[in-house]
Amino acid sequence: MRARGLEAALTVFSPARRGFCPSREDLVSYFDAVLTAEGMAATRAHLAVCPFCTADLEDLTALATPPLLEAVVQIVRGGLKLLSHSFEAHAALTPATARGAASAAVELTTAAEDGELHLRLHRNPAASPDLRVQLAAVTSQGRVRVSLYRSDALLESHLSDGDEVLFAAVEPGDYRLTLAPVDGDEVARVALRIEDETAGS
Amino acid sequence: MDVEALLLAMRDGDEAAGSTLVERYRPFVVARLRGAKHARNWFWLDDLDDVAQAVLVRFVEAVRAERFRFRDESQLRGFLVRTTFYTVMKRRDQITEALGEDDEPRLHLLAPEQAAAFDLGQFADAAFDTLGRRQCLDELYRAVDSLQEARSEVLRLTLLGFAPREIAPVMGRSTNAVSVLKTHALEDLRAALEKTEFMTNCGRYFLGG
Repeated sequence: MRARGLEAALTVFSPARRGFCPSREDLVSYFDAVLTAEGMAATRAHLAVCPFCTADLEDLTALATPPLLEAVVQIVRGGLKLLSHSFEAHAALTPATARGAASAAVELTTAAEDGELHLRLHRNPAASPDLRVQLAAVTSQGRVRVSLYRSDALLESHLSDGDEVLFAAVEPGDYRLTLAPVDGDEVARVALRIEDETAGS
Repeated sequence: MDVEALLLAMRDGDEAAGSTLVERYRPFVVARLRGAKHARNWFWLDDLDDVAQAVLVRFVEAVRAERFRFRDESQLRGFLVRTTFYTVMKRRDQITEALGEDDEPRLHLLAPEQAAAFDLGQFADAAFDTLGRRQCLDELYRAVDSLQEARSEVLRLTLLGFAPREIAPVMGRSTNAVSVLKTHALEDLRAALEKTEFMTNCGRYFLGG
């Protein structure tokens, strides 16, 4: 047996060639849990030892997950300040916000699944900050349900025809904002942390 | 016109209905691609619009061939997500196959820590195979594992798709030293396999003719 033949064997039997992995169709069926019990068990066992298939499944999971946008907003004297955000890959920030300066409002604009999502967090000087969510062209599916959660508890949910939703007097804390067409799955989630000036500095 | 009516019209050849549907779901596909590209570091995928177009073409074909039948909005989006997955994976496979050992990026390569943790024996036990090659896989991997440690390691990394220049930093040796080590390792592997029926039973899978 020549070395070249053995090198060919190492190629043919290479796990990286995926010749001993479930097909992508089978991976999708596993993801959807529609394989037989034996198929589910065999695929689970394979995934436990195969980083290639695990990576594929993570790719599928990422595609199946609505985009998560995150922003940390600090309450400062006279306004709000955007401390950090994950919008780089998603959004064009307004110039004032991009400089990170304190302002009366923080605006975030990003592509949503049904168009464009425009968020404006607006401070109400007379009370705790209001959270004003503007929905620009998110509504190709019709009315959109905008829900605000804190610690996984639903605080408020509003139906919008695509203009603006107001959550009044939002105190500092960790929030999750979700947008979904009526009777549909989420099209966007925004993780939002509103901090006191002292807590964030 | 609602989605179901548009789908029926598109299936029946209404071009305007098809265009309306494609433009309605293009932002959804692009947004999912953009999110996954960010989350999974798909640096090699630069033209999201092109992928989205390929996904939507496949969607239209599936509707016209009646491989997709509308049940509800969620099911339609699920179909698009899965079609996007197949399209992206195919695109990555094409890029990987077009690249040689000296080209970057080497998309199929594991991170060094993943390669270090990869267990050939466990992989053989959990391998999928419909061609009767499982016994061959097991014999080859056992022979590789039986070699002296450095020789086993260089062949293990070769099996995982690493070229000598990529093995060199992992093993802390020069590329030339890795190539020499690999040559010796292949000689040892040949000797180990000649004690088995590997060539007789498995040669047809990797030897031409």
